[in-house]
Amino acid sequence: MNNSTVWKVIAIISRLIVAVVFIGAAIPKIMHPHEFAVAIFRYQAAPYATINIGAVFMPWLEIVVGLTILFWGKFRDAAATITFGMLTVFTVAIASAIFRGIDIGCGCFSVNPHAQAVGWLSILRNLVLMALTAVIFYDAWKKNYSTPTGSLP
Amino acid sequence: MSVFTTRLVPLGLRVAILLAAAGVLGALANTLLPMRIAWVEDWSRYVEARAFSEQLTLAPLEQVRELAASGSHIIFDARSLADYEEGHLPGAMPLPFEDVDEQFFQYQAILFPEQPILTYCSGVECDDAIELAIYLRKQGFTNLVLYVGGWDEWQKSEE
Repeated sequence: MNNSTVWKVIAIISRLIVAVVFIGAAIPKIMHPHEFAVAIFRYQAAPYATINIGAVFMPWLEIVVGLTILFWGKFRDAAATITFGMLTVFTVAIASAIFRGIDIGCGCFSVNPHAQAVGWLSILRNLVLMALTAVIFYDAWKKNYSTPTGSLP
Repeated sequence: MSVFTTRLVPLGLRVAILLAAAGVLGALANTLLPMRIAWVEDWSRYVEARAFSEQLTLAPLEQVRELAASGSHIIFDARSLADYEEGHLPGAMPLPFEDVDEQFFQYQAILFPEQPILTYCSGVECDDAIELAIYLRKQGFTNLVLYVGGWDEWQKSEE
């Protein structure tokens, strides 16, 4: 395999992993929005007025970026930008909970408070996802602006 | 034409379109689906409201002072062990809710079903104490009291 083929395979695998993780994470949150709001509440970090709004919109944003990364090439760089931003917020929230000694469920892939406690493993997983998202962004950005005029093909 | 106008502005527009799409879907879902929730909720009263619906007795600070002084109740601290070791209510014993299944057995010998028990955690922003009270009720304990103000309120009152 030449370098270009290897890169294509890495980009496709990155897209699959990030999209499946985000769509999979969104479904329980959409099915149980109040339990997800409680999971956000337990971080003791979000202003009360934003908790329910976040619990309603965040999983749909995860679905939209997941589907866009999978199926909509021209918007893939934008989806990767949002994904990177969300992962940054999630990582800061988890790190903040760890440093404040708050022992809570992550709320990442399940709304069950006992499913997976926040920990360094959650941060490591997010950093890996951020690296994969950076690959997706670079690949999509390159494709979008590979024409001589610099405009979308 | 600069990179800003040819690339970053269009990227920003695409980001805005995706955010708007998620906004529309979220708004529709929370309007049409049966599991919709209130857009804004008073989370400062969440634990109290939950205690009310679970029919748990709440104890204000003054009552907790009396209970702690009289020794009439077993007091369980539902926070982490590290938080407990930094400071806790007088006479309180650690029972971190996150490890309750592993930790509870050590207290079973000294407890009986009618034993008066008070639970607390850090304050109104934590629900470990109410979760612990619900857990204890499931274990058969009937005389449960919840201190919602928790360690934060107790500490402030001591200053």
